[in-house]
Amino acid sequence: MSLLEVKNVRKIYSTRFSGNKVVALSDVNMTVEEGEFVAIMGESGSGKTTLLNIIAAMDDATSGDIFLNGTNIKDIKEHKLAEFRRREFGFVFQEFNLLDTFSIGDNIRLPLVLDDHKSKEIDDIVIPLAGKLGIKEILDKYPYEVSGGEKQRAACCRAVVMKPKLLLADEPTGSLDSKSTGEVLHLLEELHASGQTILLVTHSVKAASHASRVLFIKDGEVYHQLYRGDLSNHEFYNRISDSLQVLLGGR
Amino acid sequence: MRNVYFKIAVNAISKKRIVYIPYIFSTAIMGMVLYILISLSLDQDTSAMFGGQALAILSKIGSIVFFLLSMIFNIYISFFVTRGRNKEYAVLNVLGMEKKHLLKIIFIENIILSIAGSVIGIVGGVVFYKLIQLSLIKYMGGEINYRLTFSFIAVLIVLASYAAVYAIISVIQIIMLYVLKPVEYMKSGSKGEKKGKLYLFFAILGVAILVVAYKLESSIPPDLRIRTFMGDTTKKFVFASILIVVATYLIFVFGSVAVLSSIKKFKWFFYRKLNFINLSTLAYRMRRSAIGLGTICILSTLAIILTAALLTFITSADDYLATIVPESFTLEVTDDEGAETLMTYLDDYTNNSSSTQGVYDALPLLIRIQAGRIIENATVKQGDDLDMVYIIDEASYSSLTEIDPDIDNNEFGLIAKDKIKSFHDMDGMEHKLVNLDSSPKLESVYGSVNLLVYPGDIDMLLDYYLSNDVRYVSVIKGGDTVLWADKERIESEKESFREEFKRTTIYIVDVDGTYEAQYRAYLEVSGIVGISNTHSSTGEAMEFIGLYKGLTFLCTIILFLFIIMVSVTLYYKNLFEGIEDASNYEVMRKLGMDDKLINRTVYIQMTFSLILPIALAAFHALFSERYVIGVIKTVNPYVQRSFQYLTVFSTILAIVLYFFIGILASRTYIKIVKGQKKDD
Repeated sequence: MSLLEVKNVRKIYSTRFSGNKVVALSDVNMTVEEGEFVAIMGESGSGKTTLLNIIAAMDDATSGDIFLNGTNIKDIKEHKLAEFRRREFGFVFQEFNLLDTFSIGDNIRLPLVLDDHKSKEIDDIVIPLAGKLGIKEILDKYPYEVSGGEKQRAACCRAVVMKPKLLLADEPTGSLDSKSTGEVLHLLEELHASGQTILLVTHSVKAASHASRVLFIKDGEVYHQLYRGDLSNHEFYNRISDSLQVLLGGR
Repeated sequence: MRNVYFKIAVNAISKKRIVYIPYIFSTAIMGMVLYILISLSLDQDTSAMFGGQALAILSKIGSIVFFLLSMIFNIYISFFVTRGRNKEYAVLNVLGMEKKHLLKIIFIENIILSIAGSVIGIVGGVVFYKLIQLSLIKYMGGEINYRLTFSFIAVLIVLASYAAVYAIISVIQIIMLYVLKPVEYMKSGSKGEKKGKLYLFFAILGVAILVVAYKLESSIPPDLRIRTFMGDTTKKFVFASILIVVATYLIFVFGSVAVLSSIKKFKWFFYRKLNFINLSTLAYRMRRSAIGLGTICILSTLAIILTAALLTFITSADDYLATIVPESFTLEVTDDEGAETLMTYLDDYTNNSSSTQGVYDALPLLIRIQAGRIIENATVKQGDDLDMVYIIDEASYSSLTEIDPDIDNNEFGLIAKDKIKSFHDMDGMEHKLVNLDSSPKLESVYGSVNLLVYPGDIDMLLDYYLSNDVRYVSVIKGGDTVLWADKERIESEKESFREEFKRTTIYIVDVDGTYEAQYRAYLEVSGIVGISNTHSSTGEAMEFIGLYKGLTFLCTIILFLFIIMVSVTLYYKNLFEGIEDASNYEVMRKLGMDDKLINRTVYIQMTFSLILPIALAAFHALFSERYVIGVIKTVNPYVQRSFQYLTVFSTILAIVLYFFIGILASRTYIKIVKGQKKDD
């Protein structure tokens, strides 16, 4: 059984007054296996983020089903959704989404606190993890006091602190310079190597080249997919670029 | 081009309706109340009301106080309203608009806001003025007149006040515009909580200043007299008040952050879901919202003091009236003819003979008791204790005080400031004295002189004097000594003396009806031949009632202003915090925070930010007691000392009121925070 199964997912937005309909996702089918690092690529407006939100149960699909470990997300009751999201998913966003009201350390602790962990337990989890991700020194600082790369590493740390089944990353390198981008991608690779399943949404070929499989989404459908196989990052980068050219050329 | 500025200004206002509409209405309400107060002070119908002259003067003072308070508040709120506009000006500046063009936009915006506020305010004022005036006439008494009135002068003054307020606001905005650095405002990143050792220092300083201020207020003597309270005491109180304002802001701005940061150190407490989110959010928010909370605290202090003072005043008013007007009037009738005329008159006037409440005989004897002895050949000095002693019988005392004096045959009762246990008469005979209580009614008949209560009736007392070798007896009437007699004279003129005493009869008359009717009756009766030494406090009572009702009205208006101020401050505080926090809550929702938890955190934070200012305000109010009571005593010297209980009661009232305002404000906040979810 796949960890994540997306079956015939369709999402149509209709405007409130005119009733115009916009098809964001027409018919998406895909799976993610446990331990996989999958990247979803596509142009702006292709429906990548919509798909990610539907998978994370933050948006409803017009039709179709999402299964996580065999559980249909639709069947989860409204009042259990927040807990489900907290325990099953980790999130990394393009704009880091660290809260200004908390220090870096407290930002990381937040999911554990929301999950009613004891304070000692929390530090037993957070401090070694922060050490592993190289942000132990900035735990007491506030988000405005650290660099973009450090913020995103902290966000990654927060995303995996609950040991989620699936780490969802939406353009995690979109707001970073090339050095920080390299650091964050390396971090994602390390997390993947330690067994974390990752679903990355990006339009950056460089970011996607770190994944083990890349899905191309176009006009609301999964149009094509590439497996890394034994290719190096560089070789995989070239393959992705070629596919993108075909994808764009096919317009 | 001019049109462009106008369009930008109008667009800004219409797009931010959620900000500007409450602003326009709050300024309009202030304009409306100002119009009503000025019209009341100018309208002749007001002065014609029962107690209307006091009301007209109070309205005039009230309109000045109201104008000053609303002006400060308007300027303060304008900072809220224009918050976030600087970023917009910065963008327009970068896009090529010069500062003088931005100035035009600001100017047009202020013109629109002031016209909208003043027009709605004046229209509302004209409409509600008649309604308020009619209710006031009904409340205070007077002739109802349905003629519609419109005060052109009031309109002019209201317009001038708007012009003044917006001129000040414009000047502040111009200064802010000229120091505007576009690049800084276009940076989006928000800042986190700032830490600093100075926070603790300023927090301690705030507490220290507060302690000094409270000590100063406590050093005000508990029984202020008008003379002392007008001078140094007022200076002391004003100084203490300034210290309290400074301390309040220091405590909120620095103390709150210092305390919250300290609590965060207790990990077992801090790392609990609700505490974690609330403490972090509050510590972060406090830097900005602390000023707002300090303002709410100051406004609440004023509101609580005003409510408690008003309630103290209202609850003491009847006691005061009962003291100064226990009956319609008192008179002394010196002959039977006068008594007859009086009774006929009263029967005619009231058709009810029961309106005569009591007829009391008194034997006004002038004796002097010093150091427990009656002094021979004493000269009368006004003001000396026990110089003048009236002697009344036991029955009169009981009837006037409703107290059974319980004195034995060899004793006298004494009502005097000095508590004396016994005295010797000039023959060396010792008489025991039982100290008795006075009553307002007793004082109204005899004045605040010393009284000896004789155990028996006055005839017996006279016989006692005549048979017991008393050498000196002087009889006074109406403050003059009419008879002074030694033993020989008493013997020789025994009968005429008894006659003189008998003729001095004091009537207490209570006519049914309003004080105005009682006063008219008094004026008529005091003109009857044979009636002398008349007294009535109904005129004073009428003045007091006018003042009391006028003050009640004015205080209610000012309380209304405070409620509007607190509501508007809370509304804007929540509106802008909601806008700023919306993205944070969205992130927390993504991280697994449910809506129930969001609601709970919002309500807890709201409770915290309302309870703190009210709690501190209650302390401020309690410490102001001595001075406030002093001020009330200038109007009502018989004020009851219930200010503290009424302060607690007013605080509870404020909490109930804020609870409802808080719920409304929290809903606005939650709506904004959750609205973010739908917009995504």
